[in-house]
Amino acid sequence: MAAILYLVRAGLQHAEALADRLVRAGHEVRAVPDLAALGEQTADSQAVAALVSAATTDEAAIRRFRSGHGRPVVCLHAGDSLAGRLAAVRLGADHFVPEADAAGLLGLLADLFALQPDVPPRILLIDDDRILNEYHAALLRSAGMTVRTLNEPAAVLEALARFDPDVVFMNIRMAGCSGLELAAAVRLDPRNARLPIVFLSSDEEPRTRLACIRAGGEDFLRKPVEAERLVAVAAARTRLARQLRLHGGRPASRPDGGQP
Amino acid sequence: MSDNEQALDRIFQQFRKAFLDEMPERLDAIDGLVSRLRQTRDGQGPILEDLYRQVHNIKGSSATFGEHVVMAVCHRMEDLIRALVAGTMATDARSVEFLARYGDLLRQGHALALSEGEGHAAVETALERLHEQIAGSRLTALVVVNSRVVRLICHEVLRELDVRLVEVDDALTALHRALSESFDLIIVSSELGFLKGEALVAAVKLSPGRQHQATTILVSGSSRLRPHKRNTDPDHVIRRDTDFVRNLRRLVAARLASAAGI
Repeated sequence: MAAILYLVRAGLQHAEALADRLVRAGHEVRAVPDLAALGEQTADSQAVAALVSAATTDEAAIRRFRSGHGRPVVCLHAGDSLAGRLAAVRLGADHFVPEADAAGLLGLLADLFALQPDVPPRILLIDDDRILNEYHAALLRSAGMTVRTLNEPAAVLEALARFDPDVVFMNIRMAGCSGLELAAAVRLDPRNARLPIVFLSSDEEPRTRLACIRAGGEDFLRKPVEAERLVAVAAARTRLARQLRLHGGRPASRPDGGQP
Repeated sequence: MSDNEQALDRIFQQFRKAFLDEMPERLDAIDGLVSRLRQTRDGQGPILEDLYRQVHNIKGSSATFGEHVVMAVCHRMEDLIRALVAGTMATDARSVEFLARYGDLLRQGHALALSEGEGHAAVETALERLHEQIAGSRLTALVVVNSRVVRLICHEVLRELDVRLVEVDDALTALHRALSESFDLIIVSSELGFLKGEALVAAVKLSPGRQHQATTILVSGSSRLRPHKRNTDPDHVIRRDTDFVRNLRRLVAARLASAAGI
């Protein structure tokens, strides 16, 4: 299946030349006139990323393009200025590259594709509350993610070995052992030392959040978690985890490579 | 409603139904643990831990699926179990009876959720009456502050003056609890991240229930903040300075004296 790079022409000074350069570098590029047209590509399962100008301002269209797929958006600007970067941030872009820096853009795209943006995030959910766990799983699956649920904390090591998740979401208060204990036990294995763990809890006491930070949790989400936030955290933590693996932080491969 | 929103709504309704369908089983488990507590004199700790976890799970699900009456009962029941675990209340026949009555209120909350009818006020009133019985003459304070030092001082002063403490670290959760439960005192930092402490106080002051009777104390680092005379302003503003402990103790003691009719 082709991986299509969307290029939004509006606001770019040299859109045609850039498209040529990308095609010559081996990318399949589909140019669209403006962000509104990009926003209509939500259902294009071949779309893997978008290049847009910092001079455009339709962040809702960007959100539509990304919705559920976590597709990265690269913002291009005439020069490398704070104003350009701020425009990129306000647009909700993931990356910023000066338009003239074609080599930088190609390098970034190489990294992004090595991160396999077309491979859905693999999320392991651990919660002894079966219904809530399946509810969170359904929300993540509706955003196109691959999810495995676990209600028995005791089975975590097998689940990690077989599923090889990008991110683990873990309830804190569970029968048998707490999420904090479980996270510590998981991280005793050097292969899991950098595995992102996000804690979920309906605890309201300040010491719980502190304990999660001390346990090295990447994030702490208080239940109830809004669907949008759950998906956003899963996508963002996956991107970070894949970048870490790409840039030298990769844990040793599992012998079985991980099964879906 | 967009396709995506419709899909999320379908998922929500599907799992809300599953939660409500399964809840009687969970309530039976709670009843079973309360019965075991009645029969056990030693080794109550693990039963209380298990009970807390069961209630905590129902709280998480009820919050997720919008069952606020059930969630409010869970909050109060958790407060009681925490007091029993900490030993600030004895796990005796009286407190076990209170747990059983919270269990009954959970069943009423569940019935309300199934019927989607009126009757929330009756359960909430029963919940507050039960809380008053448990608290007796002791006052209950909701504390939501952003500083560890202020938090420790509040702990110390409230313990010294025998005031029950409910502590929440999240402003929106605090707002929900402050609006759905009755507290005698609300001690709140001005800066709470998502919410200004003043907004929380204003919401409490404007609430139609008994909540607005709480004495509200705003803790601020600024010397410029003063209580005004608007009906949305905190009753007291105290500054985080060298007099903070003395001022907090004075205000809490005054509230205690007022409750005692002195």
